[in-house]
Amino acid sequence: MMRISTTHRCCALHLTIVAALLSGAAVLIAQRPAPAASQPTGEINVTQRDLLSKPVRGDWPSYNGDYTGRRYSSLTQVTPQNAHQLRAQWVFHSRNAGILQATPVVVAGVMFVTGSNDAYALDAVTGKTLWHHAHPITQGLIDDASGHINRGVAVLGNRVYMETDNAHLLCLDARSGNLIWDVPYAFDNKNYGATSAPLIIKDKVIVGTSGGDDGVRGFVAAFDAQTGKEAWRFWTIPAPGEPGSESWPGDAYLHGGGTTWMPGTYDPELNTIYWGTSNPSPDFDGSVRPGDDLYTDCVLALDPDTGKLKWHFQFTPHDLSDYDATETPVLIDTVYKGTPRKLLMQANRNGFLYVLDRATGEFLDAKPFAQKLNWAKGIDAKGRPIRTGIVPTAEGTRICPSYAGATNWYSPSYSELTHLFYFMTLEDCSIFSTKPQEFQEGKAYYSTGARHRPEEDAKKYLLAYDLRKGEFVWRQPQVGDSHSFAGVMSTASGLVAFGDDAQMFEIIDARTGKPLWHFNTGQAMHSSPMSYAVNGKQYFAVAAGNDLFAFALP
Amino acid sequence: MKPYFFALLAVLATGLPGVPLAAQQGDTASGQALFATNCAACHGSDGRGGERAPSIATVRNVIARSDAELAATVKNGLSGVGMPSFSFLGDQKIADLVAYLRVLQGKGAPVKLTGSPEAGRELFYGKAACAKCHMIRGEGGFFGADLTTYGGNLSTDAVRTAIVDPAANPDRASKVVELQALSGERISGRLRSEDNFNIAVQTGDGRFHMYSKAKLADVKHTSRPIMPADYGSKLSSKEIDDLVSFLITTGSASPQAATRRGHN
Repeated sequence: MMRISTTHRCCALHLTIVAALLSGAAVLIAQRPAPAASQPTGEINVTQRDLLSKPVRGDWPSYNGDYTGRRYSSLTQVTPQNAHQLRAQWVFHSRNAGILQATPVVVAGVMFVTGSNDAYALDAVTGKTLWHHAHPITQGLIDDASGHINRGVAVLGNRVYMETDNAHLLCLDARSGNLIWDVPYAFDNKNYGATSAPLIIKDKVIVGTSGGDDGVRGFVAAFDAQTGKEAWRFWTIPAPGEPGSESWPGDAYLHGGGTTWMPGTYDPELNTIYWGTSNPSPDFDGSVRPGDDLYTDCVLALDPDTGKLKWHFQFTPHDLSDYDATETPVLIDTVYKGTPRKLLMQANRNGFLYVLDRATGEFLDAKPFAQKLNWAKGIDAKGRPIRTGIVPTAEGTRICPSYAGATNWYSPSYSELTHLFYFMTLEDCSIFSTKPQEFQEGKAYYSTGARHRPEEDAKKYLLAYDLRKGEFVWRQPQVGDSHSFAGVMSTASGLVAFGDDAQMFEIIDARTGKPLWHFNTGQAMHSSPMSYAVNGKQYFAVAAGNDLFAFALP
Repeated sequence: MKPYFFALLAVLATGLPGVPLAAQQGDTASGQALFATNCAACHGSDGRGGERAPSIATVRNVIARSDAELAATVKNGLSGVGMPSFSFLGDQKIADLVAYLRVLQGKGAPVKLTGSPEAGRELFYGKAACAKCHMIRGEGGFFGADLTTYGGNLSTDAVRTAIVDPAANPDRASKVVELQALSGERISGRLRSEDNFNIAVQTGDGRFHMYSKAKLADVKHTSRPIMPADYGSKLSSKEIDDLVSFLITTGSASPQAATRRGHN
């Protein structure tokens, strides 16, 4: 593998070209200058071209890096041969946040990160704060929102966008952190919250909410990036008379969940965004929401200009186990069963790995990946689960996967180099209980609960799935307490980086899974890693506890 | 970090048993002497923050606390962050301290405005060109401080001084920093971050210039304010009164709230 000099002035450009050659995109590069050349270090001006660039190069301009959700970086300075020389470069400590769950965004050597409702701009080389926008946490929130979790920013031009714990969209000046506008976007129910990073599509900022366990009505909403004016809103729970409304008698649709608490992905050629929705509400009592409960536990294909639904695919109809479908819908273009196809892959909380045609929503394949899986026997030819009849009961039933899911929001990754799909899984079961409950504003709306069985050991695994062969190529058990929520990313040099279950940030060989390097962050990771380059030097960054770490070669 | 930090502490403090205390009428002269001996070492003689404790004079979350809540914080201290208990002073002296703190917060006496806030607004966005650098509620520039809440707890004299004598501002970020790279390139702008090894300076075009000091031939912290120093001669006394009135009026409006509703 090539080693790139860190002292050469124009090595950022070299890095780009090397990466482009590796990914077969050299022609593309020859036609237009590399973004590094047009964006001097320290100048924040994110263009559509930057956001559409894939795979990501030195900058990491949005939550998943690029719009595909693959978390695949073209940077190749760190290789399987030299990864053992990685060392910590700096630590950023956020004093206001319980746990950082953000993926940093890096543009032109400046890193943007959030902790609770605060945003920071950091020098990506030193970790020093350039500005800090302080915004108090909201009192009186419930359930997930009361944790004041935030997963990061979106950037367009010289503006930074973030959601707040009480579902406001903030627009900040990227040069100063000054507040330009503050738009509340969830109304008529105090149980809404927001945890996601927004997603920029063209001239709009797209947001969602949390509160899917608390009886809110989910939606995806788009706002004009300049003015903050609402452009469209797609309700994930149909109103009376709309298709799917048969699941929502009376005013149940106002409390049906289907929230949208992770950023979607985007295919510019199909002009479609893909957005996952959460479980229905109440979680464990399905009697008040008969039928499939559209559009909960779905991936929605939406027109980003109008918010119109193009198609939907529901993973877990009539969910009774909190199996949100908010895991990243990863967009992959590859030859699948002999035909070049535009695919969407999702490792779902319900224990199955799905492959869809993302142009049509056609179901292509589902593979069980959870070994502890008793709620369904399999998935039928149309993509619907074949249920076992094991459901929550008044006295409690053991159901697998657990309520934390066989996987969750922590990022998966798809490598163009290995054609493998990597993701973290959790093998566990819960005792699910149900008891009817009335919706009440200010209270969670689970209709009773789920608990861990003390006699059952939970365990995490890192899985690598070969999309072309349709099989899992390795399955790496993780030692730890199974309380980590850490994601995965991959690089064009054949590396996978992830947070393991024992507080270690690890780099492994993407082909074999062999560990190459690890670093003890001293605290559990509840975040997904990323990689960036400044002045030709490649970094990895990951949040652990309320600290953010950056690593690079000497 | 500071505003939030202190807000949290204040919340913790008010959750302690034994509060709230009955608010008592305080004597500001007594409070001033007590502040100098008990508080100034950490919070600064003007209460605007020192090396060991945050500003309690300018931070909105502190200003918004009731007298009883502030008295409780002084009396009980804040365990874990180094704020000691001052219960030994007794309730009357604590009330005096709180009364003086209100003076430092600009709340001691009603502010008498002599100018026209409307005319001041026009100057801010027009002839005086303040908005070229300063932002209020999302409108204006990025290079100077956001003044949305700035005037809310200041006296007219303090705001006037800040306009006509910007060199008096002790904030290092308000003075021009000049860098010279080994390559000969010269940068001058506003300090964004500095330690023994690195420095980040922002130029007026918004760009952050981030250097390892090893790559610099010279780092110079000038005493020159970034803000123009000639407003005292460029604007009439009446115009400055108008600007001061605008900044105090706009800063005293309710805390920065949502400016647009996207729905309903």
